[in-house]
Amino acid sequence: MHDTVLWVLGNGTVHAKTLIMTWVTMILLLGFVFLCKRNLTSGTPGKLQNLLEWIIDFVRGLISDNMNYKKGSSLLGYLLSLILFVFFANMIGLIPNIFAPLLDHVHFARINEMFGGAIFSARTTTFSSPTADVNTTFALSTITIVLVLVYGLKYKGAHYFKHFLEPYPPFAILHIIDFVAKPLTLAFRLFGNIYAGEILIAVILMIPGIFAFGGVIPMPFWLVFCVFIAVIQSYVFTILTVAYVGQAIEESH
Amino acid sequence: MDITAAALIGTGIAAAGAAIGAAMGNGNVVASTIDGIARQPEARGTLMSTMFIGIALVEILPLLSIIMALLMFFTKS
Repeated sequence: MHDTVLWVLGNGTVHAKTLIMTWVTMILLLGFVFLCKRNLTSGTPGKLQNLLEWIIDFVRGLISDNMNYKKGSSLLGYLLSLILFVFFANMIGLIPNIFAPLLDHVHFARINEMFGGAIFSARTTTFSSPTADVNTTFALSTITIVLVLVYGLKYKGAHYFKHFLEPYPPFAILHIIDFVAKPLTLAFRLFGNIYAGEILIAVILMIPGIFAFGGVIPMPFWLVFCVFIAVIQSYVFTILTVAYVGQAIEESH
Repeated sequence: MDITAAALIGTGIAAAGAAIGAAMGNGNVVASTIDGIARQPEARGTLMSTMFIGIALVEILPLLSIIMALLMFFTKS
């Protein structure tokens, strides 16, 4: 843990490292999708087009499993960006920071304080995930809860607020706690998993051994597990968003 | 006992409790899913996706505990 570098923008401050890594994630994501759609064809699709079509089919399946697809089809674009962004953001935290000695000499915008340092020192072992910052995950989960409200109001109108009083008016307390806990737990789940993963990478590299390389043997196992966690967490975030929106627009009660 | 030692002991207890709770909870979820799949192999897909949601819902509480442990560990003063 070291001090967070803050950039001052107007009246507020931003976490510079999170912001830069979000930009890098966005660039990688855009590059990936552009590579996938470059040779788009309705004939025999190439490998990358197959991959993208599989992801789209997967997300579409998630929606049609949880709600009437006609109502939820407008969610497809957002959910696709969500699952890809969270996955890329989780994975980018596992890449070793091989540019650390190079970036140590860049004094512009205090980049040397964020990414610089000796190679494989505990401070700069990997790039940090954007999702290892609680602000990013809270932004994503706020979008989720706003979507719940918007879809509930769109398909049920003012009738949507009636479910807060069911089955009896005193249950409103429970419903309000539920409504607040949904974005809170979504955000903390993603943040906790990714942040704990990065802390453990740094801790494993601090295991004493010959020339401080004692972590070489446990490291690959933990990295493989981190890839698994990245996949599971992006899946869970997406499916919980779908499930919450599906709960809000269901007609049964 | 000064406050640093108390924070470190608290870290250990919180991490241990989180590990025990998560292991038991996730173990129950996965065991029940395997039971279900063994009885009805064709329902595998539905059971698996429900299982992942269940695991994610179980996992938030140990993670909160772990975050508390990390906070205690890094702000021990």
